[in-house]
Order: sequence, then structure tokens, then C-alpha cells
Amino acid sequence: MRLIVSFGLITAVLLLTFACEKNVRDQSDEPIAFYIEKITGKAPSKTETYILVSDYGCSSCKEEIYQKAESESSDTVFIITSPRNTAILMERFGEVIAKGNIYIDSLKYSNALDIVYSKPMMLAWQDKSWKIQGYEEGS
Amino acid sequence: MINRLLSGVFFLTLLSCSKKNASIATSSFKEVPGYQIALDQFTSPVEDYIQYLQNWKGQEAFAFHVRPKEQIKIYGLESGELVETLAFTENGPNVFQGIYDFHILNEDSIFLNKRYAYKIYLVNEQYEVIQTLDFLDQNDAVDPKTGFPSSKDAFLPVFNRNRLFRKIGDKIYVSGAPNLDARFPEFSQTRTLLSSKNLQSGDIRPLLGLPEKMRGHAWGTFFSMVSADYSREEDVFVLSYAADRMMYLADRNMDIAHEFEAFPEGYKEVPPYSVTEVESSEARWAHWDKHYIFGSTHYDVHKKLIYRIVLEPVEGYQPEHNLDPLYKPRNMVVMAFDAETFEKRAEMRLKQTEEGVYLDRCFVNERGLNITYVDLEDEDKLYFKTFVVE
Repeated sequence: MRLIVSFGLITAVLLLTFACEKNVRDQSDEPIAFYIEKITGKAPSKTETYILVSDYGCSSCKEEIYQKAESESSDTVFIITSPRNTAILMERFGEVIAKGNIYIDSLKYSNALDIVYSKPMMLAWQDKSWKIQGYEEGS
Repeated sequence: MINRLLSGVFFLTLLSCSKKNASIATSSFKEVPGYQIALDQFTSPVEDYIQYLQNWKGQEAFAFHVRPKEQIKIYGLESGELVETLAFTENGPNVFQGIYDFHILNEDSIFLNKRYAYKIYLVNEQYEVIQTLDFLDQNDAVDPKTGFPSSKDAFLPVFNRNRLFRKIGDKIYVSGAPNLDARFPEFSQTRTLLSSKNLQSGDIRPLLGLPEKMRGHAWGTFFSMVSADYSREEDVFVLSYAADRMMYLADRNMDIAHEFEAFPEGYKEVPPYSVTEVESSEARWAHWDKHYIFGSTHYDVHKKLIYRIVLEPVEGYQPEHNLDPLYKPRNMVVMAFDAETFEKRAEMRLKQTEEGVYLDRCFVNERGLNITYVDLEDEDKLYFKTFVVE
């Protein structure tokens, strides 16, 4: 009985330590950061904002982001997940792709990694961690 | 008392027998040689706007509307090659924007649906507008913010994939997306799931709503849908509601001529939304995930069969959803029913694999039932796997 209680206590302490550590650590090894690295070829930058949009998202919200990608400044990186057709996106975004502002996940890594969102999402470094939240229209 | 008990048992036995009969298949599906299409670089194997063409300039073909290019690409089924590109904006006198669905009646009569303008254009071979079909009542006020009309009788003409567009006589019959929120029971009173429009007078007639038993409840967008097919030879519509195990045969007025049970082994009824699902988006996704959903239906005049597709519940929990049809697709069950006796003739389960995905985008021709198959190793090719009942 004493052994079970001790084991329980040790487990609880370990879990607590892990949870506390998780709150304060740099979450660059989180799946989303890993995904960004996989797509852009470099670790996500804390000075940049990443916008993820599925090519299967609703037409109007997707189009708003696509237009933003065509005109946005260089501190925002756009990633198109689940492209329906890469050639069509390449044709449209060729120049922006060359500038490194937009990436197309042509191999659908997001699906393989289950990085899937129903709506466009925004990833940014805030309060010492990567925060992902729904992209708000007009932001 | 004993008599009543016995009669109860008797009726229950009858009921269970009839359900059992509806589930027993007497034959089976057999795969025969199908089709393979070499897609060009701009055509996706999962385009939303597609049509099987029995005869395009002398050959059987399959058409895709590649929306970002504003082009309809037509591929020969036998050759598997691109035979024609209809660049209706680039090569015609009109600049068409916002075209979604299309329907090719013949090479000189093509319907282009400017969906969110509530207009369908009928264009000729030179892409000149022959007729504009208006689906918005001119007296109906339009909300300037959303662009949607205020009338609850309004509907968007929507006929991509498994929904219906047919020209019969001087009318077109077209599926619609009602101007109502499917999260609420009010939606279930709609009559605009299918409507007709007279090409001469322009009159629109709402024809089809949900079955009586589904009314008064909320079902959400996906479970409120109806897929339909029309047999010109038999002059009959077949109707497959997403959340109803029954199938219906109807005349041009949508008066039901016959209904029959058409569900697969293991099928579980879909319940309507609970209060939780009405209020929570997450709960609505979960409701969609965990239930069977009936898909397309096809009338096979060659083999006197009616096919019905049903998609199984999603395997595993998904906190977020991706509408990419190739991402975690549902397994598919295909059923064939005798078009005269309505007995189930065959049933098969198509399991999705990491190598490839079956999609509920099918057509029927003399060879049999052709089901879309995407090879995940080579998405530049699109396959139609052909099945016959033996």
C-alpha cells in the first residue's frame, strides 16, 4: 500500500513538473512549429506571423487571405494547406512565392501530420510561446 | 391479454423480417475493366463541378469545371485524354465571373450557373448568352451586407456533384440550397430542395422538401440534403435523402409513386440535432462524423437497377475538419436494388486505403456503375472503377 502511495506521489510530482515546464518553455518542438519548419525549410521566426489557410476553406474567407498574401508586407508568411491543384496556385502566386511570402504545401504534409483546421488560422509568438488562433476577417 | 401479446409478437416478427429482407443481397458486385483519365496539370481529381457526358461530339466523355481557370475541360472516356477545353470567358463575347455549377445539354446548349447572383446562363457554342434564367424574385429585398435575399422561399440553384439538373420538356429541374439556416427546425419546412423553372414563362415551382417524418426537426446542412437522379426512359425521379433509410420514386410533380427500404447492413438511424448540437459547432461536427450519411443515387436503365451510396461514420475522433475529400475519407457502401421489385440485389463495402480513395462521384453507362477512384500516389490520373451486379 505504501509503495502504491509513493508511486502515485512521484507520478503526480513528475506530471506537475512537466506541466509547469510546458507552460514556460519555448514550444518550438510543437507539431505546428515542426510543420512550419517542414514547409518553409527553417524554424519559425518569432518576429513573423504565419497564416495557414486550407485551399478547401470557404471561398470568400480563402479569397480574402489570398488577396492579402498578394499584397502583404514581408513579416507575414502565408501557408496554403491541402492545395486542390498546385499548378493553379503556382500560376497565381508565382511572384509572391519567389519573395518567400507564401508557401504551398503541395505534398500535403499538413494532412499527414494532422495539422488540420476548419478555418484560417494565425500563428504568432506571444508571451514566450507559439499561439495559434482563428484568423479574424479584416485583421 | 394473451391474444394481444401474440398479435404484438406477430407484428414485431413481421417488422423484423421486413427489415431483414431489406438488408439481404441476393447477388454481388463484380469489378470489370474501367476507365483511366490522364488529367492535365490544371485539373484536380477532386474538382467540385463535374458531369458525365453520354455523347460529346461522338464520344463518351467526362467534364470538369476548373473554376480558377474559368474553363470546362472535357476528357474522352475511352481515350482518357483531354479532348476539348471550353474557355467560355476567354473565347466568348461575355466575361463570366462567379460561375460555379454547369450542365452541358449538348455542344450548343450549355448552362452556366452564376450561383451567388441567382442566375443561370444558357449559352451556345460561341458562348453567346441565349437566355438568362433568373432565380431571384425582383420584388424580394436583398440584404446589402450579405447579398442574400430576405425571402425564406428563395434558394440558390446548386447542382454540383450528386445534386440534380435536368431539362425535361420546356422546364429545367434543379436542386436548391434553401435560404434558411439548417441548424433550426424551420429549415425542415422548405419546399425548395428541388424546383422546376419553365423556360418559356420563367415561372419557378418549388417541388420538394424533406419527408414528413423529418419535418419539425433540425438536421444540419449535410443531413438535410437530397441526392436525385432522373430516368428519361421511365420518366421517374429517384430520391435519396442523406438521413433517411428509405428511397423514393417520384413523378415530375414530386408526388411519391413508391418508397422502399434501402439501407446497408449495420446501418444506424441518424437522429436530428439535440439542443447541444444546435448551439455548438463542435457538437455539430461530431454529429456529422459519427453517423452514416446517404449519398448519390443512380438509375441504371440498362440493367434495371437503382444504386445507392452510403458513407460510413468517420473512423476516430476529429477535433478539426478539413473538407479535402482525400483527407480521412469515409468508407463507402454501395447497394443495388431491383428497379421493379425494389429488392436488394447487391451490397459491397469499399474500404479506403493509404494507396487510394473511392469517392461518391459516380455515373452509370452501359458497362455498369462507374465509381471515381483517386490513386494517392499519382493524382495526375483519375480512375473510374466499373462494377456490375452478377
